[in-house]
Amino acid sequence: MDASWLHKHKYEIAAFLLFILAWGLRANVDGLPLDYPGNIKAADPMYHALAADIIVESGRYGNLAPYFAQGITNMIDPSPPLNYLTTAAISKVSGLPTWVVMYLLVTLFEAFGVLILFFLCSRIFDSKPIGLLAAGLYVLPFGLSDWWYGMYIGLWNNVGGFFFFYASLLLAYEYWQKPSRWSIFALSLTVAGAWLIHVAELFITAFAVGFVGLRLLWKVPSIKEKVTHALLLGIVPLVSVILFWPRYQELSSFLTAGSGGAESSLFGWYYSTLPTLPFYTSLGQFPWWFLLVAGLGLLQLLVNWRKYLPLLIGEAYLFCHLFVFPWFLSAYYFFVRQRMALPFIIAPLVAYGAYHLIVRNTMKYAKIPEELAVIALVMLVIGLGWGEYQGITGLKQQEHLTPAKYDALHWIQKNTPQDAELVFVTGYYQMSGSFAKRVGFVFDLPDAVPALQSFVQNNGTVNLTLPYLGSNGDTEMAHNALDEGSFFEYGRGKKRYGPMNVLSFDYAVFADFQIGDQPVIQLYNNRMIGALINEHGGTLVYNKNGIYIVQVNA
Amino acid sequence: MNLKPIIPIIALSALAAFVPAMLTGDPLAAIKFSLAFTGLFVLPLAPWVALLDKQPLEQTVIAIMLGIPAAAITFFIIGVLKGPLTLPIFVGIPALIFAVGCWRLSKRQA
Repeated sequence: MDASWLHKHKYEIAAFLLFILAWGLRANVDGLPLDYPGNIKAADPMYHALAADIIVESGRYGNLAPYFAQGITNMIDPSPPLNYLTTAAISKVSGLPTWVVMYLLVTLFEAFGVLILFFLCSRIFDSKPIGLLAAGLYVLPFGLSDWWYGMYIGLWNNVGGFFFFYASLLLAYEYWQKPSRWSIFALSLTVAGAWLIHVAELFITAFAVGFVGLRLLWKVPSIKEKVTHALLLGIVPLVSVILFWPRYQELSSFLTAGSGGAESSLFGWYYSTLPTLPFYTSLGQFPWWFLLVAGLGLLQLLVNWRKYLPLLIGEAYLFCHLFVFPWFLSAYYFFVRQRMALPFIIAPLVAYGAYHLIVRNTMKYAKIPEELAVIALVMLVIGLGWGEYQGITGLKQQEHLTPAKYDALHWIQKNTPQDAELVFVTGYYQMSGSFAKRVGFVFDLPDAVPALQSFVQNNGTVNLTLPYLGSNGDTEMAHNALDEGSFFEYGRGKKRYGPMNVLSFDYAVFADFQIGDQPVIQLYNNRMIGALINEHGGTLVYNKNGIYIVQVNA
Repeated sequence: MNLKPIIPIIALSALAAFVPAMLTGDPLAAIKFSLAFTGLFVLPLAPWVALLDKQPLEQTVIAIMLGIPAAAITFFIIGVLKGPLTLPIFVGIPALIFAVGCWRLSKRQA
């Protein structure tokens, strides 16, 4: 490796370093603790990490662990499995915990946009400096607390879906430029990847496939070659669709939940309801001057439209997909959530505009070499995003499952029978009790509020029958489809709902801290524990760090 | 067979995976992640992408982009067929893909 080699590949080296920086910055948001899952902030990632754990421990794919399925051993897991399988493989080989491996992979998925943008834009604009600018814009995108929300809060499969979407765009452009068997087969893998990690991204990824399909029809010369390319494109997604379809059916109603609510029809007028939807983002998350540069870049592209036709078609389609279709198409998961990809989608426009507005003028008037001007601009952009980044790294302190809570769950794993049933009365909301790996009914916040209100209103009188709603607890993933009969036909189980009495469980778990009024929680716990021990023969078997476990049925 | 074309791909992947994994605060954990990630997802496709007329970084990008779904889809099919997803499968399938890729690379080099 000599100086001329380094000089020749300076932009590639810079892009690689930006990628490592981007990956590290993303992984740092939630931290990577090896001894307890403190980087998990919500119910979704609790489930994702444990779904990978199940594969590691059992060596089997496809069934929910009994502790996720109210004790039923053959309930199917309907979630797309790619994230779980890749995490399980690395976890099994490396011995690292799944919550660390999965977060590293998810942050890789997010950060990989840096490299894809570099190669995509370098090729579209035939300019590595513009490619590097686009990559630099993605390291810390402006408005990152909104764009990264899915990553740091735990919509991890969603983030993986974007990885395959971006990869499909790069491969589609590769094929557009030079149709080849390898690139169309590669596209086949990324499309199947989108289907198997988060079905909702398949629709937006389909655009890239459609793009290739057109090229296939127009440019590939012989019929034989057209058929070969079509088979190469279709074979992996087709096999994946057939094998995953029965499970997809179990989730389809959830995924097609509309912008007008679960009962909405596919077509309607949803313009006014869009801003009320969860995870709603829009162009307003970017600063005005950033949008101005993007607009100027777009204008310049339009002037040169013949040269940049594929990019303009792509941007126009994606704009319609994200900003026009949702007005009248109700499948919110397929159209609105994908707005998290906006920093990637808008980066080529901004990079092109910034190159012509800033870099070229700097070169011309300040006589600065091109590479220096580009690197200075990239560093400036990253510097401007640094303040917001510092603001969200504080999330590391907001652990969903603290070491003390995890210790108690670990104690349960070691000291209770595998078929024990637990009720998590207070403290363990949003599936965090599931790390006990026992059938556990969690009285989540919405479930716990009526019981606490009743406790206060009745002047501290305890009621051992709790109004379990099954809203967000450990067993939420029990979808009732049983793995019996043929592969394409499932049996039906019966899910337990309704009020439950604490005395019907083997153990009851209480924690003196939960969002809300802590003195009331402590008083409530004391009275409940007292009643279980003094009136019903329970035994306090764990008392540490404000967490209490009562063995109810000795 | 000359394995020189795949060395930069492996090195770039291993380096890229090692740095963020150091946030665990444990260098050994970072090395384990880096080796497992590169060994399972990048190494199997390295001889295949080395056949492409591209620079090492772009070859690495393609190996990562395709190595992850290729491995996962293979594990998925085995899982659906009720095959065990144990260590020999997680290591053996990528090793097999790597071996076939090396054979193809050697044929090209011959």
